[in-house]
Amino acid sequence: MELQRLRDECEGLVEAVVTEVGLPRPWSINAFLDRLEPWHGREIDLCAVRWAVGESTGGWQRRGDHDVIAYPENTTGAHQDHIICHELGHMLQQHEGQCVLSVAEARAIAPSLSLTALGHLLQRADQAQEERDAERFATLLLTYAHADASRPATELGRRVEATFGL
Amino acid sequence: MTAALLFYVCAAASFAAALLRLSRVRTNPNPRGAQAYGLILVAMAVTFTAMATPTQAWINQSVPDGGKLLGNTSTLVAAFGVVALSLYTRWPVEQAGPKVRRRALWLAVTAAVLLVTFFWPHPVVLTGSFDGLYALDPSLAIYTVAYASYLGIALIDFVRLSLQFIGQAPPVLRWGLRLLATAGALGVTYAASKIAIVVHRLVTGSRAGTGNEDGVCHAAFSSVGCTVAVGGPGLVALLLIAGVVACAYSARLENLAQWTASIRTYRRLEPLWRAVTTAVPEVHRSGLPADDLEDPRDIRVRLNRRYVEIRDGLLLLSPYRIPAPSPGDAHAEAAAIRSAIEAKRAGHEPVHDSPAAPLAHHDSTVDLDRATDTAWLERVAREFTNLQGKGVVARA
Repeated sequence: MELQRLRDECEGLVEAVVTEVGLPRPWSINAFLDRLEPWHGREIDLCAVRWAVGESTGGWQRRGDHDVIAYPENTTGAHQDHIICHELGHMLQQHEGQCVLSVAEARAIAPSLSLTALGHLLQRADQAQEERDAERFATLLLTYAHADASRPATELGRRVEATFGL
Repeated sequence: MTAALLFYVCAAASFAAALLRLSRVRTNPNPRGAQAYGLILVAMAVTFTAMATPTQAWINQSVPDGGKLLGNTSTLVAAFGVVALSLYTRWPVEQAGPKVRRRALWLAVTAAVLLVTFFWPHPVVLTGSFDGLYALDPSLAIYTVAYASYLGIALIDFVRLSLQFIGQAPPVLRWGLRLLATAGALGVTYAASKIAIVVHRLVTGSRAGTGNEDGVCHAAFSSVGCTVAVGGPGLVALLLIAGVVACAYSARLENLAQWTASIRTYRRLEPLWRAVTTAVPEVHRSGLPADDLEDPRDIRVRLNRRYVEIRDGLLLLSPYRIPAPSPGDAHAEAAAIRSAIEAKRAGHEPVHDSPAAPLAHHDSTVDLDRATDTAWLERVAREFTNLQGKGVVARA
């Protein structure tokens, strides 16, 4: 029952984001974050890092006045989108997370950021319920986004489809 | 009798479609447009019914040529519905409303002209086609010109707007709109031809009727008069029905096409997905199985999971691989993946030290969208299967 409740909450969150924030057409993670920030009430900074063996593939840290999301630069844009949305899942579900990086590791992967910026990265490889919820969030959100991408991009196109096609 | 049966079948289909449309008005994002669509279908049902010979014979017992009046009026109502539908689609309600009201007023005036000229005392007996009577009875010329003018201008409106819609619509719906626009263009030609015939008869005083000397058309396209009176409207009606049906089923056809394409892609990715996830089983642990989702039968979700697991796996395999010698070559990419899997399976040390080298696929810096990247992985999966078939195990 608890598992079902968590699943329902996650799916409810995705529906709320899709309905209230909206998905940009065509899909763009940057455009989506621009819409999400006012809804979330905080700025979200993206930080590309080079993934290396043994490291997590993405991370999120809640800072005083904004959130930071790290993602690997050495994969495709669509894969990066999924990783970023996974971290957004952690962020929007207010997960507790865990500290997985040492100061040296943080300096190695993101020398341009202050050390505190990536102090509490969440590891995507974790099996905890939070990870499954974040992954569910990313999967559902991007399924919506890609299904939506096949619909007409313009307002007129949507009206034409609604009038003649449905 | 066959033609009458066809008209009644078309009428019944139009009426059923109208009921379906109108029952869904509340859930339609463009309710005024849906109402206009319902009006068109009801008017078409009336027109088809009025065109059937048994109906005309029945009406004519009370009002000579009353079937023609009913059919013409319902055709004009359908034309008004077409324009209203197009305007409510093109513009928001508050902008479309005044335009629609102007067309409605014009329709009322035209219908009034039709009624007055039809019931005006005629010096001739009305026998269906008015073509041979214009020189004898100018009120019938006014009737036909009013009818053809409203119809023609309404259809010009529709064709103009539908050409704007075609470029915005999804592929299948686009074909339906093209059929409707073609029907509209032929309808304009029909209306212009009607006016041309009236002018010709008035100017020359000709009393020639439609068809042969008895006013009968033995074939729909046997003469210009028969084409205008019989063949043309029949062709327009046929295109109209084909367009409406194509539009009505477009969403289902689009969904079916996407669904089958997704299943095809899902299956084509399987060899690559199976090899990668077997080599890097932690990708299963990093996420969630598709069965854990709300509707695991949704092929879009399953394809999404398969894509993510392949990409997660390729990222984890990247330290074991040597960059493909020919970026963009699916065969070379498949060979590089194969060699990385073999290297990991054999327990080799990662090729690259930390920080990891870029993931050596066709161009890791390109911001690939999901569809393009999935199509690329599909090609790689096909090459990967070919490699397996050839038993290639050498490292790239």
